[in-house]
Amino acid sequence: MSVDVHTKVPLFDVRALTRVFGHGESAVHALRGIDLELAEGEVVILLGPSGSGKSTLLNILGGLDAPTQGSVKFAGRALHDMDERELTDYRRTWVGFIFQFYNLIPSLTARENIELVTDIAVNPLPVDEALAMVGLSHRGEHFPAQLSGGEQQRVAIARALAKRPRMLFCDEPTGALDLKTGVLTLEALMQANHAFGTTLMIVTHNADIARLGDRVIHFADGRIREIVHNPVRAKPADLHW
Amino acid sequence: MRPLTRKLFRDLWRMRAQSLAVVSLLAIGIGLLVSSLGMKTSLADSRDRYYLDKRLSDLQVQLVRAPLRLVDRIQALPGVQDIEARVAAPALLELPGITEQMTARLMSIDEAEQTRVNRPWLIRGRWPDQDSGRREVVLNEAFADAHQLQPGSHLDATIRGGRERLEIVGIANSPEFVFVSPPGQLFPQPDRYALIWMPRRALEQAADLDGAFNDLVLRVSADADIAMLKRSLKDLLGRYGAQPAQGRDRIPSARFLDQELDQLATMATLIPPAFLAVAAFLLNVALTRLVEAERSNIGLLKAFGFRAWEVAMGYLGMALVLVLLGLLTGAVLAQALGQMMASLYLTVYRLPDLPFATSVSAWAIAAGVAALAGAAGCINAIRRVLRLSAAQALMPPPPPAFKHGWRGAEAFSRQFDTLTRVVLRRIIGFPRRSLTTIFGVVCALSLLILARQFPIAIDQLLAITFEGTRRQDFSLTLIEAQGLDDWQALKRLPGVLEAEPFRTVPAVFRFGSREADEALVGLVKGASLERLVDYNGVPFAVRDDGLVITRGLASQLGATVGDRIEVEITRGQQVRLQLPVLAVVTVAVGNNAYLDLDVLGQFLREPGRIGGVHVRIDSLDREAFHEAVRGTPGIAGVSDLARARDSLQRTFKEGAGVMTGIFVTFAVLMAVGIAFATSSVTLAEQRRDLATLQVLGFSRREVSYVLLAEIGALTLIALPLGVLLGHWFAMQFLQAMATDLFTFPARFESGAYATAAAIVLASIIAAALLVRREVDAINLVESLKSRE
Repeated sequence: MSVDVHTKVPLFDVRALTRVFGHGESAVHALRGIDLELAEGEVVILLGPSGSGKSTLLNILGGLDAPTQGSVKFAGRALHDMDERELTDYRRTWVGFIFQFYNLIPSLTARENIELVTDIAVNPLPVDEALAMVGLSHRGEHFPAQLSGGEQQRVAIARALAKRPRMLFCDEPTGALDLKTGVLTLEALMQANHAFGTTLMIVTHNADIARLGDRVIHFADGRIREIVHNPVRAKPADLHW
Repeated sequence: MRPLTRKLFRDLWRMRAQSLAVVSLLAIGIGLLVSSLGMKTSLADSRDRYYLDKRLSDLQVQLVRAPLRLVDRIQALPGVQDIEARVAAPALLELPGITEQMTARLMSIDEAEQTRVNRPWLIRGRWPDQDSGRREVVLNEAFADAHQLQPGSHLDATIRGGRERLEIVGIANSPEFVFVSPPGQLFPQPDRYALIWMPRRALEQAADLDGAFNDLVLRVSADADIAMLKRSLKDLLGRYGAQPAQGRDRIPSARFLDQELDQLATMATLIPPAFLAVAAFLLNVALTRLVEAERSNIGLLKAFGFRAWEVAMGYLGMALVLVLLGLLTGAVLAQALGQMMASLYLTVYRLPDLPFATSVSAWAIAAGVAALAGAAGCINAIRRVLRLSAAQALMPPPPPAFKHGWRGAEAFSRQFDTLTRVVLRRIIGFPRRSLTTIFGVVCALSLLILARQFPIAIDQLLAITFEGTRRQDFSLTLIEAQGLDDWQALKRLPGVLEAEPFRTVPAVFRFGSREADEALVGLVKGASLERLVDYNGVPFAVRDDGLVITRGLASQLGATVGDRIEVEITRGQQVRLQLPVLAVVTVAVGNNAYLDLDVLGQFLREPGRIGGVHVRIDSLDREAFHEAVRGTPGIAGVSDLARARDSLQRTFKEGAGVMTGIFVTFAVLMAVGIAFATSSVTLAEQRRDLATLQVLGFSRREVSYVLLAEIGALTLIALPLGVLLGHWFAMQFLQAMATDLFTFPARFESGAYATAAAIVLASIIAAALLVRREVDAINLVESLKSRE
């Protein structure tokens, strides 16, 4: 399913976005003026070397960080003007995150980690359904320390999907996984996109993963160097790394 | 400076809040320990020097009248070193503007500087001229200070019914009266009771004791056989109306001072260890945290080729530096506390000087205890450093492995929402740490309860003594026991609303091989002005078929209910009785045996005679009452109970007040320190989880809940335990502080304990909220990126 960005209302509308860390001589320009639109249901891959600004963009769009200048609109609402409480509501309601190190709460079982989200979401998935989506129905009562890395990452995906987010941010989701478990993880993500039309933004170093996206945005030195449109999205099972 | 040493000091500076807390607690513990121990030795040394220098008597004998020619024979008794055969007489004093009765003890002096036993020493003025026609006297310092009397001032005195105008020529003190209390009274009344030294000739005349003495004081040689000497004195002096010879333990001043020393020793053993234990706890938390945070550095140092013990030395060094700082600060604190206590004691005890000095042994004990606290505080951290291999240390720590706990705990935690479950699983999952926190809070609360219980116990002791036991306004003591006519006359004194006779006779109590010199008190049945009340306020009736004795006397004799004890009454008629003990009462103040007044009269073969009267008066007739008392011959002394209460309150509170203040302050600091340490550790360990929760859409408030609920829940568990332990601790402390004269009432003070718990809770909340502010500062992105 390929999406033409020019024919739909953008889910995100980013204009002249800059982000500077520190000031004076030690200032680091992580983003140097980004313009970008994301369409609902799109799968976008951010590719680039370390420090090129891709994670910074993901964090700002996810409401974890604020831009130094420029504007970010989510479904028409200005993210850059939101206060702490509004950003919390935004994260609670609309977006999900997947991190490289899973970030599960170690003192809660797989099921309880998902319940964390279903307890506060407006229209959540049933917990069993979320577990089933990632193929972990039988591991619900296990604590993170009792699960493998791939299983932990799939619990994290189930947790992110359980709130039926419109947008899923994935920062190096397979960074700590081997090929086989990495593929399983990516399949879970792609299935969410397929089943719920969830927009995906995946930050990665891995050029092969880029084949999964509708668009591949290449970052370098805080700028978008190139945007590549994939006519056909690859299947996770076809990937190699 | 070697790099590892430099690192040590930088780490200390980085952890300055925790370092400061550890150092302060160590300093307080050491300060209290050294100052109590130092004060004890200083006071004991000062007392011993004083007693030796001014020749305090070892034995004293009161007589009716003995000829002075006996002096040589007494001096020749084996074991006698020095004697003074004095004339002593009670007197009533008058000063312009003071209506209450004031009494005095007059004592004869010869050549003052040559006095061989109980030598007074001049503070101002001069000694009286032995041959002066005027009545020249020397007055004790406490009374002179209370009334601003100086050499040159005058006093009117009634001695044996005759009025004398006394001219004060000097102010002096004596080792016999370090602490001035009227006869038969436990409490100092420096403004109502005076000591007056008068030339022998003059006093002999005034007291009608020409060529005689009635007060013998002796110093004995070190190898004297005291028991034999007492028997010899009795044989020699018995027919002159001599009481049995009494030792120093019967001099009220000496007895009080000894008890003060015992209490100081108790303080030194019980209180400081609590502070040192908490210092060890905080040190443990701080260092273990540091080792955890520095895993990779430790691994790096080990990978560079530093030996495990070299790396560990760094942490040991930190503990050492903190202990040394604690010792140094503690030394300063000890000196300041010691000086303060010394000047406080000098206002209560009339000692020539009281230089506060700390002993080497006190410092050795303090250093040992501090080292112990330091070692206990760092051993855990050091063990971790030694155990950590370089490779292990360079990897991030494994995630805490939670497992399903036992079913009860699991079912319990499932009743709560997910965030609460996070909290509960941490508490149950790290039992050792949870218990340590609980222990710390329990300690802080116990200490606070202890600090608050002591003043309450003092108030209760005063309340039971003056509202339960001694309910009279005044107590009049007669020079000699009187019969019915005088009793009628006393009852009719102006203003008297209620009067009750009593009689107190000194007696020797014997049971088995033990004996005790105390008083036998006769009270009327159904007495309401002077009652026998135990330390919890429960009244006991006097009996006519046997004795009711105090717990102190019972333990001195080793006697209990049902035993028959021998009572030898030594005043007037010599009477020896065998009486059963019918009850043992733990009283708040005093140490006596009680009997029905009529029965006592029969035993003494003086039925109907009384030794004094307790009265309640109409306050409007106060002046008239005092005037009438002054005009009544035969009254030896008047004690004003309201004044006695004030003076007792002052005695206790001056000492206890300062200590209580210190304890309360430091218990609060301790609670804050523990809460701060615990919340900081929770925050450091959960920073990533807290960030994750925020990313998932939990608000800062909800995230703060996870942080605060842990310390909150542990506090809720700790508070009731702290109340129970604090109560137990307070009971032990009060028991340890009890002497044969005082027993502190000990009750479960729910109000005071609730306040103490509230103070601890408030301190913990304050500290936790301080840490909570950090939640706002969590950098979500940073926290999530790294594994730890």
